[in-house]
Amino acid sequence: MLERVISFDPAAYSLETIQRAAYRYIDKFSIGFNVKEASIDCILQFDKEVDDLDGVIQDFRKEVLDQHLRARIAKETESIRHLILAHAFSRTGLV
Amino acid sequence: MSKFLPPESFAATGAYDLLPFNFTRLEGDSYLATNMVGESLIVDRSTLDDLVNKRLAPSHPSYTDARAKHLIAEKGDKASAELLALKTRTRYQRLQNFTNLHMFVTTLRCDHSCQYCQVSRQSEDKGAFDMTLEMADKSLDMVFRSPSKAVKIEFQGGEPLLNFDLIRYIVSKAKVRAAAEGRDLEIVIATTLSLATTEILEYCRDNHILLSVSLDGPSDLHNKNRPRPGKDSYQRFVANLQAAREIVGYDRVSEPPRLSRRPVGLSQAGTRSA
Repeated sequence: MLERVISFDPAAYSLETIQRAAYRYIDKFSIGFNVKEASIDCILQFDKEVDDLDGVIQDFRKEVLDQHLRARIAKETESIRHLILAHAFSRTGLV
Repeated sequence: MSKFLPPESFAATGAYDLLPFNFTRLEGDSYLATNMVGESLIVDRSTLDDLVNKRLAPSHPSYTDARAKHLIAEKGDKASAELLALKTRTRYQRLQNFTNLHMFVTTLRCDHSCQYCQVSRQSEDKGAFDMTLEMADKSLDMVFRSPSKAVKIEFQGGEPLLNFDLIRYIVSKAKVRAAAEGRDLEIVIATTLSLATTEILEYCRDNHILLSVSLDGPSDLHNKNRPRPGKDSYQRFVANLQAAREIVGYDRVSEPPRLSRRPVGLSQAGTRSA
């Protein structure tokens, strides 16, 4: 089984963000984590059908970045999202 | 003095807040951003980054689109959030009425042992797998908590006719409550018909109960798919379908939609697709 280890800076990305990104690649590799103070090491074990390991890793890194951006948007818009939902359903008895 | 503000007052300032949205990568550098009500915008990665980091200039082609699609709102613009709330309310209007379909699994027992059945079928002689009166009362309470004016109760199993006394109990209670609350009540029994007696069919007729039935194909296929003691599932179906049509009514017996409008054997038994 082909294995690669890639690292992320915990100051830049949370473990949850990396885990969310990893779900999208569940058909390409399994993943283990080694969380240290200075780095989050991801141990990727690739399925045997995967031949372009570098390409998949590159895409995975992009997805981590995307997940980070999604988390930022969700956090920043959380209060307005609740406000919109409360306003939308204010007369329904659902909220 | 005009009561309208001049056009300049509506010009983009470039100072904006994000509205809730999500995005996904399409091919290459292309991203699809969608908001709470499904309005969408396709942008490249650097535009997306600028958008989120509030660096997108009003002169950028995507700026106006992002405003129009409610991904961003200019500072001080209250209309965007209100419009988005209105659209959200419209999109999820169905939730106001919750659901009108409520299924009662009156028993897990069944006289058939179909291989493809999703139910954890129990053998016919185990009364422990029947819905109790107490469960039925609690379930009816839940049914009538639904704000929907129309309420449909569908009896399923196992073979629901194996616990027909409970069906009678639920139907009588539901009819009283529906009448008292001004609800439109519809009742369906999903059955193989194998245990449908004249008495049961007459009860269905008298209480305007619909029968939902299904046939897998010609005799050999149906009996193979739906084994039961006596190996006569098909023969019982055909005989009882005829009786059901005569007693309950031709249009009160229907077959659920299938992959094919005319599955093999349909014409032999003479069922119709709903």
